[in-house]
Amino acid sequence: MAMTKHNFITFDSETRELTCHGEWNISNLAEIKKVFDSITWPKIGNISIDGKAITKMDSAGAFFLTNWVTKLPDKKLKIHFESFSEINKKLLAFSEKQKSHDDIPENKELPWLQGLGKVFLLQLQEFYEYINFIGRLFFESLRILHNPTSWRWNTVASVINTAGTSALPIITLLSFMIGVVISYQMGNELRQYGANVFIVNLIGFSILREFGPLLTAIIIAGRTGSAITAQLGLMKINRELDAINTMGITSEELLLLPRLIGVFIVLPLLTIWADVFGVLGGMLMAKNVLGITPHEFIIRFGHEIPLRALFIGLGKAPVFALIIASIGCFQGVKVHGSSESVAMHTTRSVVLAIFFIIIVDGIFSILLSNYKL
Amino acid sequence: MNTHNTIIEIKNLKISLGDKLIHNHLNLSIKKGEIIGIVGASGTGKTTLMREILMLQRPNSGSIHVFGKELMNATPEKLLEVQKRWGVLFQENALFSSLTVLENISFPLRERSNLDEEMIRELAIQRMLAVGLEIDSANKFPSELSGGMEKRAALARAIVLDPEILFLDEPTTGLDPDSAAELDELILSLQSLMGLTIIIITHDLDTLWRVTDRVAFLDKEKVLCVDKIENLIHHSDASIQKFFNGPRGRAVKNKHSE
Repeated sequence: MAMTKHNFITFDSETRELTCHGEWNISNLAEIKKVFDSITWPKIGNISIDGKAITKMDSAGAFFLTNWVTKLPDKKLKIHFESFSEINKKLLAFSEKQKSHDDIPENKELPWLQGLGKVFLLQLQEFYEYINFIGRLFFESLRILHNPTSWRWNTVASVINTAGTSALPIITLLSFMIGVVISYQMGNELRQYGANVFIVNLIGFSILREFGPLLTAIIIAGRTGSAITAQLGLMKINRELDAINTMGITSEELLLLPRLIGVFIVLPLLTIWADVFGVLGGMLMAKNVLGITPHEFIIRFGHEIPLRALFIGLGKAPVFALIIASIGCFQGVKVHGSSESVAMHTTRSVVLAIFFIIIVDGIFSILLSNYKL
Repeated sequence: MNTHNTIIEIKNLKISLGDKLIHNHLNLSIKKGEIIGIVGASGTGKTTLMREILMLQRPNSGSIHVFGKELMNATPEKLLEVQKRWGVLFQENALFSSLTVLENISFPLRERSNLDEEMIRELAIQRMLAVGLEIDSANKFPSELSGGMEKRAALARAIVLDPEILFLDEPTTGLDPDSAAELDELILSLQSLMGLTIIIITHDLDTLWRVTDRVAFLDKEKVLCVDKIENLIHHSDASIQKFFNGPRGRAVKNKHSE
């Protein structure tokens, strides 16, 4: 069995002639490779490769052939190319020239402890950068304070509109539902003790002090915080921030502070809105589950719930607003390079904002209970 | 008409974007193996024409034949047959920003060939070197590359499947003269090696003189004239005169006719 005929090649092990035929193009390459792998090649001597029967060859086919020659395990085997057409010879020479001698430099993977340390240091560095960012914002706002011509009221108004007015429907619905749920769940428990009227206290304190501000802040973090990050991030990639800076306008003045102020104004207002609809939802269910009429509910609400509860809730809102807007802006200006970076920082913006909102809310609860408020 | 030699045939193409008529009764036929330049003032629909041939934008009426197949009413399977045989370099490069250079170049191979991983990798590296990128660019992301390197990476991705037609949209825009000249030579050598048909949209007069076999001039919603650039510059039409015989056009002409 001297002569073996396959698709694409025929190898004569007596005369050591390898004849190529057929279409040597990229769509047949996988099959050509399989045929080459199935043949046991001699270890030493000469092989001549005849290419005159090749009907069509593309650069991938030529690359395969030259690559196969280079990768032969032993240098003792000599290969000659014979009777290839002019164009195919050029293709072979071209592939020969483009061979890589070095391999791609590998990205080194760190051992897990080192990796953990790196992540920790990166987080620490990001926190440090964030503090820096806040400082810069602070000094920038001091500068602008002296200079009322550079107050960007238009931008602030547009932020108030997009972050506030357009968020009203969703906040209405969600806070109303929260009121309904609390009233419904608690109502069943209270009825067993005959303590029906205490639903008013429960609804009043929980909505005004906790759920109103928290729910609003979380919705705005998801809605507006992410939008701020994505928008600033794309502007950064597009070098719009650089363009602004070269004109002697700081991006803080034109973009960041108006967003911060806008959210700062809008979040307490939205919180009041959420309080109103939360209590309304609770009042509705108090009537259905516990038989407390709206009239009774409102009278008792006035007697039992101190104004303090409302103000404590409203006092948290500006703090939450600063968290949302500053993290949103910070993550936005940290974007660099690619669309993936925008996705990463937008996610981080929302996650970190909600994380810190809840942490700060906890701190508020501890502090306030210390002062018996 | 000799269908054997014609690779792209556009007949009576009409398209309007919004209220604006872009092409009306546009005819163009492109021969196999030629390098054709498409030029025209801004807004004459050069990129739109390319997008129509690539089926990214649907013309209002007319017909487009590529490899003798009508594309306007082609089924997705038929279209795929054609799509496998062309490569495109977009003006903005359109490299996948979340993939490294090597992954970008391997992407068409991974999706559209049945090669194994090792072969894909080797072939992608070869293409990367062929367009003049260094081996250590392989693991870089597009955002870490310079403009010229990004162009080269995008070109490598466009030619990795050994296409028969290559579309280049403003390949030399934004490159320094040296890189632009290198890219011109690269295009020429690829054409002679792989027997490509190349369609270049460009404003770069140097590229037009150096690279193209014929130039199609777009104006007044159609192809005003298709000819060798030496002949085209003597065309009597006012807009062609304005395009080629302004101060920059004359300088380039003198350089290339020396």
